[in-house]
Amino acid sequence: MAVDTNMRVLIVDDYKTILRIMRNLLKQLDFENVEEAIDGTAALEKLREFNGEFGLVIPDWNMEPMTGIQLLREVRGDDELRQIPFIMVTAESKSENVIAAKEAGVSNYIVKPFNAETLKSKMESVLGEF
Amino acid sequence: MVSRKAHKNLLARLDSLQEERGGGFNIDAVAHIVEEAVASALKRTSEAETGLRTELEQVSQIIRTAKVEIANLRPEDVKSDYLPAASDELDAIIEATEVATDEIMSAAEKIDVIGGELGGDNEDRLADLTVLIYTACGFQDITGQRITKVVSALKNIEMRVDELISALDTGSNKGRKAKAPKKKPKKISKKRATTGVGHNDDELLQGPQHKDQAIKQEDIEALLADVA
Repeated sequence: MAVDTNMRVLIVDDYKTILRIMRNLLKQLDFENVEEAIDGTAALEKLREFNGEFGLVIPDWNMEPMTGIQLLREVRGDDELRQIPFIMVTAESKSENVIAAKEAGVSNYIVKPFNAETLKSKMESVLGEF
Repeated sequence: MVSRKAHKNLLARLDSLQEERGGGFNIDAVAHIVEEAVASALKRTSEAETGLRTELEQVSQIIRTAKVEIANLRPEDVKSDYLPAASDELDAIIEATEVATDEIMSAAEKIDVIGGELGGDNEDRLADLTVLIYTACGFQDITGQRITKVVSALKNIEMRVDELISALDTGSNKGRKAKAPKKKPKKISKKRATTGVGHNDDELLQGPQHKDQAIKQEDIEALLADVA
């Protein structure tokens, strides 16, 4: 089944530049229904505001006051939101970070800096080919 | 205080004296023996004390020299001028790269629009190039996080210098107290939660790693599969 590129995607990062890069890259991949949040708390509010109607969340890890992994744990502990796929995109590049994220329920993991091909292939591994 | 050995010697000499004298004591002879014993004990104590005093004086001289040398380095200047200046310069770098990145991104977005107007092959070629520009602009996030780590290290040095100044109390800094850094490093989380890999969340926040220490993009899938 083809991936619905009209799905709502939430990108979460406290660097405006990264939000802008992500939005542009997603646009190139035909994902134009993109919402933004600047940290985990704002992201959680947005997820609840849209009743969890998101096809994908792409958070950074290192944000204040709520980090990406805390957001992930909150989402996985919420019956309404727990199924939403998560691709962590972060500069935290130690294997223990990947393991911790996996244990918290991450769907995939991208280390910054990354290129458009990496983003596409990781999204396809989570959502299916598009 | 007379040592056990001296005490034993004294008793031995008194016994021998008593034997010589057939059980009686000559007070002058006893006084002589005691004087000798006390003088010997005092001599030993005095030698030990002198040695200790000499060593203490040497230590004291080393400390005085170190204080003078450290004072000549002007740690107050390091704290009041150099460290804040370095921190300000780094903040300026973050700001400048942010502005530059913003301009580059805006230009790339305009190129994207132009590509859309051109259509066909040219649109695709321009889109490929703008994607490269977008991802390359991610450098600003990475350099920002690296600089934040340096600023955090500078704050730490500032605190240590402050403690050093207080400990030395070089005279020019009387009344100063060690202070905590004014600003908290931006990217340090307050919350702590222990993860399954035995680290709490704070310990996992280490920012960008050097190439040889960072996990490779292609190794992530295998690691994720292993954990699953």
